[in-house]
Amino acid sequence: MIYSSELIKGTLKTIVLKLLADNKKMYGYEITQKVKELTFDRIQITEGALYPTLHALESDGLVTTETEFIGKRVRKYYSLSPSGKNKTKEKVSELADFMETMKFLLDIKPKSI
Amino acid sequence: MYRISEQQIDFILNDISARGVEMESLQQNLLDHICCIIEHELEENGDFERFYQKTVKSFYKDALWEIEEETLQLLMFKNYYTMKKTMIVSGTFSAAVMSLGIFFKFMHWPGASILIILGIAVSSLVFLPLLFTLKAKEKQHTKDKITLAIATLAGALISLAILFKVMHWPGANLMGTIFVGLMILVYIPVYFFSGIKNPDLKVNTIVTTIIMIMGCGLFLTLVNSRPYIQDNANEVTNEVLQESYVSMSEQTRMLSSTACMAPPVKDDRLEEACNMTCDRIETLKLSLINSSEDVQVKTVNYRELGKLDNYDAPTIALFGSPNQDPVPGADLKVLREQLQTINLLMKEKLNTPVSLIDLSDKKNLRSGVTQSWEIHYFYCTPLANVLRNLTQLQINIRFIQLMNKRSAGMLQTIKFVPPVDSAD
Repeated sequence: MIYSSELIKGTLKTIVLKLLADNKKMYGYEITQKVKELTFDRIQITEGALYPTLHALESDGLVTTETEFIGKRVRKYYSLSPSGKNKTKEKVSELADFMETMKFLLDIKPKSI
Repeated sequence: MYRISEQQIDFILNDISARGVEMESLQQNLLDHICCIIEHELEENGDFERFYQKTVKSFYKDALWEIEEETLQLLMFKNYYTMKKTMIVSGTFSAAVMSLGIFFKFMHWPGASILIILGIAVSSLVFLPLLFTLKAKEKQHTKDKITLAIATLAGALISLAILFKVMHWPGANLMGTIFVGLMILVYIPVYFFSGIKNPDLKVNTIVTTIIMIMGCGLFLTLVNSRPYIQDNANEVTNEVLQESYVSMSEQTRMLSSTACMAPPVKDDRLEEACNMTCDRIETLKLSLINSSEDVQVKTVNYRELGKLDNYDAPTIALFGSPNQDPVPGADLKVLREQLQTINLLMKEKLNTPVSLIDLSDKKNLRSGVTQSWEIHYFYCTPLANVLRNLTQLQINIRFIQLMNKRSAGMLQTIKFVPPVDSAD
């Protein structure tokens, strides 16, 4: 099952920040592959959503970039800035809190083991 | 694993920019991303072209530039609150500074122009563009955006019109007229008819429309309230000029009837000083007329003399810009010296301590403050009155010239018509 893009849109920032927190520096393609891998293909980040988010995070000063030349093309690596590290914790705990609330709101029973 | 050649990289980059992605960092990101996909997923001898087209298509719904638009929107949204805050602060600041400046202007206090220019500059260069950008983003339809653009233009026009008006720069009335035209003929009707259709906004629309029409009316009144002041000033000028001519002719008649009681003792130095001073005053009058708005020496249009804008012109020409401690300029200094010479020669001739031309300090009837002769008659005085005062001086000098040719015995009987006071 692949989640709808609407669901992913609201959490994309948190996903990207958390990935960067765990992996030091990553480039765009790597991020999409990593998410695919971790979620067993259930979450697929589209390029159309990823790059706008990365640019926004950069302009917010949450991530820093370094470029690497690979032959004729340029690869942009993203890594967390100090303020990005704090923001990641904040965002992750906010999302966890949100999920708890949603569980309560939608009356989702824990799956029986 | 597929190996991408340099030509293929160039091809992809060109294609990305041909598809409307203009941001360089985004181009580079997409290029690397596509290259990665191709390298990982295409077999060594696969069809590059076909695979590329398929890959790039998976990036978007309708067009590749959507990614750039989305990026820009996210970046803009980040600035949204900063822009909004800047807009409110700059708007409040410019409104406060402008009102203060206009108040200063009315009171003739120093610093008025700086405040007004600052206020208008901030409002038309910071506030209005920000307002337009923020509001335009909220509007969906092109029609709404055009209406907004017209409103912004009208706002900029009225700011500039007022700035030009208070600075006496040319073009103020034209801008003001375009502003009122734009408001009455385009903006208000569009605003009114689009708002009246919405039942929720009906009352609001009507009230705002009335306020806007009132604003335009007030503005027009302000710009065109000249006729009364103009006619009034002209009336005063004419009256006083007539009076002085009447009194001159009367006195001349009196002089001629009592002439030759004693043999004339003509003083050539006095004669020359009088001629020089009169010529000088004439030149000064012409230059004052020239420095005023819409008044040219060749075609002196006396109706324009009373124009409100010509209120400050003589002050600026004779004193420099209005300030707390006005100092008479070179023209007034020389004039005073020449009048003093005439007074001195006259005293000699008549053997009396009385100065015929009164250059002493005067008490302002309204404020009760004692002022110098120059300030009393020429500072912050409308052009019509300044010209009248200068003419009166010429008349008085001509009288002295006349007396110079007559006997000394009857001079005490001559009455001098005093010049009119400055307006405040």
